[in-house]
Amino acid sequence: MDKNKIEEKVNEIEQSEYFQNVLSQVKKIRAIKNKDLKKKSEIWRNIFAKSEQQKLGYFLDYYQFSIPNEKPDFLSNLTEIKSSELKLIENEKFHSIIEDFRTGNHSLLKFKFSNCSELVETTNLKENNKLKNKNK
Amino acid sequence: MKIIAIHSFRGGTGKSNLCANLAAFTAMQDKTVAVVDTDIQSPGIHVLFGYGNKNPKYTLNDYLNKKCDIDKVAIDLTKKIKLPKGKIFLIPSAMDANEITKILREGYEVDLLSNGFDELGEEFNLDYLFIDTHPGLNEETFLSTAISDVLLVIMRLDEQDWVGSAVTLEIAKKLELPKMGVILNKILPDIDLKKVRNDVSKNFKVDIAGLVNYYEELAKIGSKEIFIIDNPEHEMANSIQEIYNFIAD
Repeated sequence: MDKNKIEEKVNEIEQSEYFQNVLSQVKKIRAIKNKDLKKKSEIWRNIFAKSEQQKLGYFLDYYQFSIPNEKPDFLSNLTEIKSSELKLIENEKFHSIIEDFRTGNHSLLKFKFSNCSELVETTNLKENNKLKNKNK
Repeated sequence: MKIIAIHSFRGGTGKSNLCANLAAFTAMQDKTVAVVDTDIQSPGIHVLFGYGNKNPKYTLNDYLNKKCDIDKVAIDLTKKIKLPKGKIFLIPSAMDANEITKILREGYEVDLLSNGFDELGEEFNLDYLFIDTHPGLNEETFLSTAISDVLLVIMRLDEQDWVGSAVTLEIAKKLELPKMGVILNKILPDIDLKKVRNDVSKNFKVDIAGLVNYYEELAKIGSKEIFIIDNPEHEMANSIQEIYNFIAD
């Protein structure tokens, strides 16, 4: 393989206006997502700290944390128990679910962080995006 | 939700076919997946899903032109393709020439696409979202691959594919994609796979996500259906499993 030819082509693309445009847009998107995830991570850290996480043993869909090399450290304390899956959790149900876990009535709770953020912050992603797009 | 972009530098590498089979296999692991056809210039993956002769009510083009919400575009094809487990949605692109040229001429915004993917993830509780991209290096390709979590570059053992795939992977590194891998597709039976693995590792410095042999029975189907659904015990399933393990890791 002609490495010089490859390098030449890569440089040509990297210097192009459309590549720089995409790179800057993508960096902005990633920055927003990273900030958002850090905020959610902090919220969940506090919730679990209050809920005696060691006893409850949640399994979290940690793929929501798509920042490379950066998973919340409290995840290492959480272990999967079993397979009962609750995808959308409303605020009042969450507390009774915690109680069920404590008393052994539920074997596993699987969270998705995006849904959990709705639980805590009551933001609606779809509505927010509609407004964002409308204002463009 | 994980976003997986499937790309190739040239056409004819089997990208859309592999994308459809990988998405179906992933769904069959009891996952909820979506496939987005961002190949706006030459959409085709919908044919594999049995949607070749139908005109969907809404397409990705409508969403990018802000005519509808993205969830309106998603078509639940789980029952249609007789998926034994899991769920699968298709977000098709328009086949109409006017729609195609319009969006190519006017372009679209990265964050609109990115927000659309997030909304799909929320609305349908997706585990994976697969993006079938247009071959080659162009602005649309960069847009859809740059927002992915995993990029899979598909190539054949063909001299014309090597340089282009190398450039694609170097550009992906400049875009700081979190994870990428190479899939060698349509490998002929007498090829020395160990040598191939070494060559790919040496030249691309990227992991091999999978090696998929050429199967005449797959070629004969001619994209009329998704092979792995009716043939889950076929040898090809082992290759698809390897790719699935790569993206799931």
